[in-house]
Amino acid sequence: MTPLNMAREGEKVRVLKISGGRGFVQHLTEMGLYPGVVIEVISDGRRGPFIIGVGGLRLGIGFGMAKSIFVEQLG
Amino acid sequence: MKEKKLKIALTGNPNSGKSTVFNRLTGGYAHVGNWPGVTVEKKEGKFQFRDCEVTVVDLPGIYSLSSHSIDEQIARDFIMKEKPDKIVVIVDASNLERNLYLFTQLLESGANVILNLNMMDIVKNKGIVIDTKILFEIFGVPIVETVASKGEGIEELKEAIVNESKKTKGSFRIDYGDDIELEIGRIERIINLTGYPPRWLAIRLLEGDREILEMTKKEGKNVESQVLNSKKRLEEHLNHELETALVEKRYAFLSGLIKESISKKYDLLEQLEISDRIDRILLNRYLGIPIFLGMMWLLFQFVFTLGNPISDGIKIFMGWLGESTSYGIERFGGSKWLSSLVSDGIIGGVGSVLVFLPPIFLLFLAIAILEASGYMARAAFVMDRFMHALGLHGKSFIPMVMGFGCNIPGIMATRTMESQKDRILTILVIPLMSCTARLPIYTLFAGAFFAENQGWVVFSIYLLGIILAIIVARIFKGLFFKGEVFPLIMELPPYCMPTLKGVLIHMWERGSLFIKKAGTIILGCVVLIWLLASLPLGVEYASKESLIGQIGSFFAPFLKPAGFGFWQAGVALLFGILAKEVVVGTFGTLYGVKEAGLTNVIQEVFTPLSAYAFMVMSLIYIPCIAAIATIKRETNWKWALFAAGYSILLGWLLATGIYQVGKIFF
Repeated sequence: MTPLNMAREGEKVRVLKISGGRGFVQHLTEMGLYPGVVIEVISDGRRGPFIIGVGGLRLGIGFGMAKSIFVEQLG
Repeated sequence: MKEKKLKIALTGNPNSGKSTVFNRLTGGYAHVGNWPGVTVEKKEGKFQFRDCEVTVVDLPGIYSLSSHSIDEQIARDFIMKEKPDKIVVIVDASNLERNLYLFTQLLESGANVILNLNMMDIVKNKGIVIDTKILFEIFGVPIVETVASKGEGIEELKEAIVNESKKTKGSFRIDYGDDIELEIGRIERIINLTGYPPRWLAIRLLEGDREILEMTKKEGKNVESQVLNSKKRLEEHLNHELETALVEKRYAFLSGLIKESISKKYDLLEQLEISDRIDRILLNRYLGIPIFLGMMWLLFQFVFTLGNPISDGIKIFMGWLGESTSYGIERFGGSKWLSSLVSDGIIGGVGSVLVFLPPIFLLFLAIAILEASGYMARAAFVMDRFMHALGLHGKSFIPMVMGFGCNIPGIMATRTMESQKDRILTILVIPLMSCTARLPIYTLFAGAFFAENQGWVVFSIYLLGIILAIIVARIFKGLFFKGEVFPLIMELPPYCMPTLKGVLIHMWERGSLFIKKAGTIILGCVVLIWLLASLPLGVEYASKESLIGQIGSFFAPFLKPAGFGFWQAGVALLFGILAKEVVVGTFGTLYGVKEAGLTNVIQEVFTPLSAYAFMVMSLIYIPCIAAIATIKRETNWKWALFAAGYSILLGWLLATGIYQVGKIFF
């Protein structure tokens, strides 16, 4: 289990846990980001904001937030 | 045949094409945008289908029925309290899983829903087939496929709205698993609220819905202890938060459903690949901010290079109109005062404001293009790191940019923000964003004194506004809103080419308000100023002895340190509180536009330095009445008065500082 900010561009990872207040976790979940979901790292935050792909959607993630999403690497 | 009346609501995720469906249904001109939170006001339209008159309410784009942001609360309140006859849930069919989430929540609530699969063209282009029969069997509600951007399927949607539905009530349910179902059953048995299915109430209570809890309390049923017990038991058992567990179950249900009903799962769309590549450049850590600033600079070049020649034309026309009407009125026996009212007051005042229609429309056009292309949502991320460092929320940047058009929609756009603290803070600094109403002031003064570098000078004022907003926010944050910033997460819609029709409609919607304003409040103000300038009887028009001269003379000493201590400036700023355009309108009325022209008079009474100080003062000194009222509505009186107070002080200090320091050098 590693925080999302350790993942690199192009990698596919599965969300394991999101840490944060209840409202925050619920909000992310409702936007499609919850444990079990496979996401693709579109931009890993080194060159700009962290962007992830969930299905056909793109979610931009604010500064520092990638640290509170824990993932495991796939294949 | 008696006419039937129906009231329906449109709802759906942001970027699902909701506003486009609304426009197609009603033929109305609701604003079509491309980033979350564009529908900030409740929009209503009507259409007639057969013997039915249907009122359509466009709700803000939301992700769920929880109430994280004001937007979600507005939508939820409407659905729960006003109980529309039907709810059309618009989903982006190319992203079914996430989009259907809200739909299942609504279905569970027992609402009378219609599922609208929008953007079917994208789905078909990718060779994906959605089996709507399976969806229908499971959901038991009408399903309509549309391509709203091309108007396809809209008639079918109207048909489905008007049709008496054969609702298979209560047939849809998600199985939450034995443990959760057991507790749902326990709560279900002791709960009863008219109009809502007990099962849904039980689920909402387990999800920690406070409003539902209040409602049950009001009916005298105390279910709280049961809910708490159930929650505790389940969380011990599940070993993590119940709210998340429920959402996960719903998603698990949806992904199973989608496996059954969709022929092929898609992963990456070509459009997204292009979009991703553009993002690598536009959102680059080092290039992002320079590109953003460059775009803003280009925007102003565009606004002035294209707008100025048209403005000059209007100016010449107004000068001619003023002279010929006063000549005409006197020639045909009209009295001298009537001629003065029309040519000095109305044409001089309103005319000098109308001159700025071209840059205002062009600015709205440019903002509309930025929004529709998808860049606006990115701006939040470009600025996020920077904003974060300052204790501001990345999302507050969008309302701030919107504030450039008009502060009022900017203030209302803060409704998408989840944290109340972040929201009030953003609202307080939005008035520092130069709205289009202030543009005439800058254009007039920059044109008169810095004609060579007009674009640069106006750009510097806009930039000053942004910088001040950031500094002020930083200070207020430390004083009143201590604490963590709510993290930023936002959908980035794929970039797309804005349609000409879309951006023109948008430009007209906002720009026409300005024309309306010119015909009402600005007209009223200039007539009042003309009247005060002509009284007491016998006084020389617009002289220091007139009533207006006396009012202005009272304020003039306060403005002297800032370099414009003459009574006309005092009057202009005073009446500018009603609407910022009136600042220019006042000068137009008091100095007249005939013969010499306003620019020449301005050049006589101001120096380049005092002109710049005046522009800065106009930028900051107070939000207009309408903006103050909006701040009050969105927060409370205390914050509205605070916003007015701090800006007067800040404006005066800065204008004075610029003038006093500048005097040493120039």
